[in-house]
Amino acid sequence: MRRISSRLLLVLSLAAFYAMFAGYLFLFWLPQNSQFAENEIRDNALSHVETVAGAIAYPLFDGQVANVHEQLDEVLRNNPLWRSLIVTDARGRQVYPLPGTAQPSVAREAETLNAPILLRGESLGRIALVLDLGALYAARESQTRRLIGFLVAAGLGLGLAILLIFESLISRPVAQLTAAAERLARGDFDATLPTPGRTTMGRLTASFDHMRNEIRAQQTELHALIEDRKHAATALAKANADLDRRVQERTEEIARINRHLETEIHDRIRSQEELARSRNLLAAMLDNAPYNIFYRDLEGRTVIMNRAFREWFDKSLGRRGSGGRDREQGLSALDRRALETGDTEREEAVVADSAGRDHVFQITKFPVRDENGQIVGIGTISQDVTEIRRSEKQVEESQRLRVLGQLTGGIAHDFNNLLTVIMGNAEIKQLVLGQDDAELNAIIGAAQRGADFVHQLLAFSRRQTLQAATLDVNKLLAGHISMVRHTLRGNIKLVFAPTEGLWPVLADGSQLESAVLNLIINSRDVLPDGGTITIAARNRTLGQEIAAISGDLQPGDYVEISVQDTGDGIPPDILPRVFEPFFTTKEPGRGSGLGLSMVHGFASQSGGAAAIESVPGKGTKVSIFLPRDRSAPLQETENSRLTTEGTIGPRTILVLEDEADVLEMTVKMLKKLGHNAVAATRAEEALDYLRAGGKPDIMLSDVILGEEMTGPEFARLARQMLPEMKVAFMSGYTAEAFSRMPDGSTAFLLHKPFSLERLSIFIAEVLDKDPARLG
Amino acid sequence: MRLSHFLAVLGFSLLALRPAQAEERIYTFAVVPQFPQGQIAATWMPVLAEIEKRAGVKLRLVGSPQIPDFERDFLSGRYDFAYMNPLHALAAARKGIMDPMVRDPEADLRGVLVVLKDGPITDPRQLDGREIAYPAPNALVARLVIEGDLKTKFGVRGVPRYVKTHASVYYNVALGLSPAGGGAATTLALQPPAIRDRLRVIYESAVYPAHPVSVNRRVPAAHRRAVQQAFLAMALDERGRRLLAQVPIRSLKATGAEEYGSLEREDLLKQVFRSLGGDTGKR
Repeated sequence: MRRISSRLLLVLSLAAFYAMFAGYLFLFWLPQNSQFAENEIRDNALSHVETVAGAIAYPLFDGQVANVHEQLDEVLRNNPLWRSLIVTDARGRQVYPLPGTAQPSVAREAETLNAPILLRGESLGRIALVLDLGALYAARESQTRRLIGFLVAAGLGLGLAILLIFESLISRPVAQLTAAAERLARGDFDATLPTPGRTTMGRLTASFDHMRNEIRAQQTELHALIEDRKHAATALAKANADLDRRVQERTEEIARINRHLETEIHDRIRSQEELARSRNLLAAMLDNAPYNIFYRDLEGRTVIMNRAFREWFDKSLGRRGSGGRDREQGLSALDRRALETGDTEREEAVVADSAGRDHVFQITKFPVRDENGQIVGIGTISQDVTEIRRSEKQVEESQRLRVLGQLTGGIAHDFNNLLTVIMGNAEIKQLVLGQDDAELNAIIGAAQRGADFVHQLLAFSRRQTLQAATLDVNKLLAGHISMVRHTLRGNIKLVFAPTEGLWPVLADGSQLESAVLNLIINSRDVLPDGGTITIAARNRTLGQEIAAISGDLQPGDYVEISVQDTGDGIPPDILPRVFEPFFTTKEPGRGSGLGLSMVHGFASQSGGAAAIESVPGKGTKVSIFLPRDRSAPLQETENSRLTTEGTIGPRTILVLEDEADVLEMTVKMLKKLGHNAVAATRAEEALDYLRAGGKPDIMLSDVILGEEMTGPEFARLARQMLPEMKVAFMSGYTAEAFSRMPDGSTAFLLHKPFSLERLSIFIAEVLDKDPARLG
Repeated sequence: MRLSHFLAVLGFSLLALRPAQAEERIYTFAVVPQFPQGQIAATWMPVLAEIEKRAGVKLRLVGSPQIPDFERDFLSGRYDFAYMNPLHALAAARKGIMDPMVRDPEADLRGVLVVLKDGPITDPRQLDGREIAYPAPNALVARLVIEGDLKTKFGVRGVPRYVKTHASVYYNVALGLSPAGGGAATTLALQPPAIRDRLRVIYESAVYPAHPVSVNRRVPAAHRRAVQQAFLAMALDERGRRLLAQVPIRSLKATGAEEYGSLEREDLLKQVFRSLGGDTGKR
């Protein structure tokens, strides 16, 4: 029953497959294929007839109708499916074929295709092709018939063959195998099997046989194995108990080791943290150090660098964009020297920053050794000492100026002594003669000019005592300007116009002169091509606007003394720095940088201020504000008249002077004025006179008295012996320290050289005026 | 001279080269360039070889690129022998340079004027101002003779339309595309019956002798006769006829300048001598 069913199933399957295959062929493949072929023939024909139309266009245009006929006859001969061709010209006249020519019959499948005949875009007529598709259809029918016949024959043959093969190779062996399997299931291993062959079924039979033998063998082995497993289970249970005990022991040992490890890890973490902290501190120290510090290995790679060094490169040199490659430059010459000597090496180097400013670096290189003493790299510490070097240079400059000042002062002192002798002798001679003598006047005039000159020299070298006095600024400036005018080049115009009603000020005249001279020199230096320097003095009552001038000033009345030039002005960025000490825009060696600083210091010291205004391209104006002196009218010392004999009566004056010529001259002048003069060349000599009971009204002493003691020291001793004695000094120059006596009292000072008139007024001042007034 | 012409002349010169013999004169033989030069060479080289053999003279085929060059050369006496059209032969004779020697009597020409058989035109006089198809402007009998006759005999001036070939003339008329056409009796006879049956000849011209082989008067009489005889002999045997058929020449007979007298018409000569500078060659 089952065998019959399998065969039927196979037959039905084959029949269904065949039916589907035939259905596809006849319902889909054949019609579509025929349509494709038909379309292709039609398309080709249309394309061909268009080509023919192109080929006959020119002959048709040229009237070569015979040629056209020849070509079309040839075309029809070569295309069996082309039933006929009809050519008409543009006027619709038939050109081909000849009218009346017998036309072949047209089948119902015929189709007409039309194409225009064009020559250079112009229509010459049309060509119509009658395409005979009948042959195509006939061919298709024949093909279909042949295909059906083949399919029927092939289907029957193939089906029969498959059935026979199925019966012989599959159906019968399967039945035998099935029977054997059923017996095997009942435990019968002896059923007969089909003879195994080379077919799939044969291999299946062989496999079945092999499987049967295997099952038999495995059944035997299985029984033996079950017995073995029972023994093994007993042994395993015993081993498990043993293992549990050993695991317990190991677990305890591991716990002990873990505790030890935890302690060790904890210690190690703590020491790593300490190490990290030390490293961080070291890094912080390096980064906060105000030096460039870096370390290079022996290949010249920069391995460590501190922040200062990094910033120097990144900011000062503007090399951020280089990605730090420049930092990894090779070993420098100094690096190599330190490596060769194994010692610390130092040098100074000048390096320009990105703005082109030179920086002086003091560089120290030292070999870095590892714990074995082996050199592993080069450490570098460099410091930007530009400012230090500049300050040193400026200090050197100022020291040079100070030495120059001392030298000038010394010369001025000696020179003043000489002038004193010359001037005094000439004046005495004038008095002796009792009339004006032209030659003597010339000598006295020259000596006076010499004295003025020395006075200016001293002002310049700042060896003058700061002696505040009520000053007429107009007069001071007028005298001063007349002296400096000739020091300016011809292309510089110096303008000064005194202001009416200018308030008096309380200040040191020589300092003011010096300050104004400084400002004039500054102005001169910014006018290399000439220009105008305007000097002015005016009264200023300052209120709220004072803050704009100086934060140190109090509102009130001031005299503003200004020096203005027509130079290029000062750039706004450096304007705030011009009063700083040592700041200069001049070339090295040309300016000390102390000029404006001194002006500022002088003004501040005098209770005023200095201010600067500058417009680039227009010029600069520096002003000195000095407070108005409301205490007294102006001193009129210069206007005093010669105090002649008898005006104040003869007095006894002790003159102490180590220069014999000056002593003699002074004594001579005092006697000429009607006084009694006691001369002493040494302090001891004068003291002897006092000890011997001498009671001079005035003691007039030189400030410097050789090696024994100074004038003030002598005065202190003399005062102790004779407190009521007036003390006065004379000097070729006077150090600032001498503005007061050692006991704090104020001293009178007579500048050398002095005229007879000046001496007379001085004596009168010492005798009559309150010394405190001059303090 | 265009490159193709130059190459043609050069080719001819090379083909015609023979080992020169001091005592032997080599005569030049020219062919009117109505066909491509290659075709002329292929046709005429075997003919000339046969003539040389038969006449015992040396001939060299020479060519001219175009008809005007050919006309200039034969009038300057450059050629010893020449196969030329009848008007050229007449002109050369009137100039006293060359005389016709042999011609194909079967190729003698008679001009015909055809119309549609069943058409409305029955008389040449109906064609005044109408279009007339001709093969080409210089077609001797088909156009020059027919057009000249229409003018002189019927006072008719048609509007010429040139359709390249005689066959096209007949097709145009047969299809009714042109009312009338000029052709030649020989070419009309060659048309298929379907064409011929649709046409009617309404005028035939006189007969004009066909293309002759002319000989320069400077060629010695003996050599002239030898060549003439050789041509005539060729037309009589199978081998010779086969070679001549390529020209095409079907038969040959001796001829002379007097036989070309029928062409002594001013209207025809003007056509030839227009290209020669207006001189009609009259003496």
